[in-house]
Amino acid sequence: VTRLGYRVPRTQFDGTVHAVFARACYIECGDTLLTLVVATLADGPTTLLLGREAAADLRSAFCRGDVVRCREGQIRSRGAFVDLRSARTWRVPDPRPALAVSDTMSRLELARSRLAQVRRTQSSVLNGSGDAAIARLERACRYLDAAAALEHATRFIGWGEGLTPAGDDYLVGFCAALGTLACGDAGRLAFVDRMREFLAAQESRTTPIAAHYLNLAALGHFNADILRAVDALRSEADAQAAQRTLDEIMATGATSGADALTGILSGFAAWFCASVMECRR
Amino acid sequence: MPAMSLAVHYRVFADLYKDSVSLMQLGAKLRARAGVDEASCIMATPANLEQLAHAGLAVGASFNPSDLLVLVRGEAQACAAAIDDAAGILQSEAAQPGGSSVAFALPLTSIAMGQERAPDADLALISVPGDYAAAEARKALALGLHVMLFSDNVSVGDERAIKEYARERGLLVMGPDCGTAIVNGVPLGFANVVRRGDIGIVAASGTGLQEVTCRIHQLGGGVSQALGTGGRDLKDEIGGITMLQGIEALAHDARTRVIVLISKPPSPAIAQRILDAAAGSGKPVVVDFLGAPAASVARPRIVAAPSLQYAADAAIALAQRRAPPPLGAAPPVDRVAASIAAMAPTQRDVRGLFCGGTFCYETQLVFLERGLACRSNAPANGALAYDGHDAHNAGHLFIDLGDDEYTRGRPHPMIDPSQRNAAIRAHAADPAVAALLFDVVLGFGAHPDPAAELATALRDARAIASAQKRTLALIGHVCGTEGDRQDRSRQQEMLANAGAILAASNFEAAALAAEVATRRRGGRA
Repeated sequence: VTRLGYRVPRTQFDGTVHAVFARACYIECGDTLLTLVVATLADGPTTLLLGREAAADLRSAFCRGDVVRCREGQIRSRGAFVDLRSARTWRVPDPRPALAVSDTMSRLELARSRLAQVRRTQSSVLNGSGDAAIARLERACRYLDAAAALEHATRFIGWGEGLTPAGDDYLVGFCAALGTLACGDAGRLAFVDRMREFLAAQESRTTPIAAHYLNLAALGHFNADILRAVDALRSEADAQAAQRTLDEIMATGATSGADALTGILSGFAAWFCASVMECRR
Repeated sequence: MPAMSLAVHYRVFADLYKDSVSLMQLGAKLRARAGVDEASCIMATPANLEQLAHAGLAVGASFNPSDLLVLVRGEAQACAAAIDDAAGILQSEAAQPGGSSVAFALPLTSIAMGQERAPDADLALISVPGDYAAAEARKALALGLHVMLFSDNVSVGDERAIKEYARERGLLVMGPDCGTAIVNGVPLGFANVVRRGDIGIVAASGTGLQEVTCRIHQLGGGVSQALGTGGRDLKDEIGGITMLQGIEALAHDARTRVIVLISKPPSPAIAQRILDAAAGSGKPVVVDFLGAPAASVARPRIVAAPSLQYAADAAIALAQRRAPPPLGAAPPVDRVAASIAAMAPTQRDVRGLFCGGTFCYETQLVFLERGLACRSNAPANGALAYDGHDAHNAGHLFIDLGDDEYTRGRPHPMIDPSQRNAAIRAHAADPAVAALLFDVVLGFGAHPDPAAELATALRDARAIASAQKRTLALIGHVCGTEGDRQDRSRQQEMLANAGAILAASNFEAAALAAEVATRRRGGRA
């Protein structure tokens, strides 16, 4: 392991393999899920990022139900040995100064255009029947109508195919954007708190893996690719670098990255674009 | 006709996880079955169950969100069979965690989906319209894949950006406009079937790379790796990023004993950087910077090659721990003597019609070195530009038919040689033409039998000239190997039977054509 998320125990824990895929292995550990991932995936608060020399397909090393035991920074299971001792800790980078409004508007335009391209081949429930639900949630959020927003957000929990349903990925991205755009505004901060309380209470309505990421979002923790995408829109002066970052997140999973970016753009549409329109008026 | 009654069947797989791609693929497979009207494979979350109910697929049972639900609507018997099949597939995969999902046939529509299906893959070959190519390359790089970018029309800015991005991650971008590579013995793009061996190549020229790898094979040697860089890599704007990475990779590759570098001449600053890296590789290096003075290239452990042919010959010698062969071996000019002797007084010019851009370029260098002025639509330094008009008065003229102006909206001549074959007939009718020069490029992506149609065109050319009491020298070479699906020997035989004079290499063919030009100019016929 080359990097450990800041919420991963460094030296000692016990767990059980909850699910294993080619590039990610989820380990149930107390009330959280630790995620062991190959080097090409993103860091995260509960992520253990493997070095490039590790097995390309984690299914060859782990099986569901395997007992995983970490002692003195060394993980052992039935078919794997993982050394954490020389791993560095990944932490959330300090926020960078915001770009001029016009620059962020152009980043948002770029992101929407790239997302539209990607959706031609990576569609999910969000870009089919999700448009109306997204518009309703954005509107409620814009007017800080928490009750309506939570009602509309309910629609997204556990909605869509796969391991982390598209609706959950969307909400994680949405919350990441709102958290950044609250900017000390008391009304917005209170709204974000309500959203987070809501997410924390949804465990029974979605898959355990999606629930884990919703719980992290409820606590204000996000994976690096989500944070980078928000930063690309808000603070990245280099347009090409911003595009690279957006392309990176959209390459995550079958549609998960694109779904999360949809949520991020939705958050910006609710609070950033709306503010700009008000200022212009 | 009585209405068919539709049944809804479902089965629950408790705590079974499948990634989205697998579930979508399974759903598509079930929907494609006869008698199945609708199918869905989803996690049984309340939101998904509600969605199913809206779609008329309500199931009156309670589930856990971690349950996988497979649900099918259609004819009762078909539904039952589909559910059983789905169960078999899901459970066999569950029992074999490393099992593959190839039983499903949903087309892959993203690089990420491809990587899910083949997690061991470490290279993405991208061939999409140029507007999208850079973005696809970035996605592949973000997934940790090396990239071969077959696409062209990628901006210089994008090329530099994706190459820098790749370099930061220890990945390689071959291209844009990279048509040929051989990586760990796997031929990509137009590559030829060549023996594996100990000579590694990095080339900013697709046909240059093919010519050298094929000749190495013909001489009994083999290729460890053959990496393409794209034609612009050594330009100042890019800085030779891929070639420098390629040199480093070959320097560390235990299978590679000798390195060959091929490119048009870079600027002095880039050349210096490349040659410094080559000299520092610790291995003997052969460099063909086409047309660059030998003195500007040669230094300890670096051999300057004046031609692609010599680059292969020198690499073979060095791999066998012998000294490189002497320069300046005379071409077998007696092979064109009979044709020259039979020519009419009007015949003085050579016309070259090439599929390979580097072959066109190298031919110009051969002519210029002999003091023979020439024109081209892709002129080498010292040659005149040809604007596509008045070929009769163009003198010696070499056309790269793979250049953008000839391939816009139509396949490359290596894939569809019809345009070149028509040009052969047209130039044969020009009384000024003494020799027609051509290349035939074989390989995986090339036309399956290029000599068959070319032979007909050559016979027609001879007949056209003969009707005007002229004799044409038809000079060519076949770039390929006996292992290629087109079979080089068979291709050569067809061309020889059509009256072509076949050289061992492009350089030799160019030298024979230059002999015709020299002797027709000098009036020694």
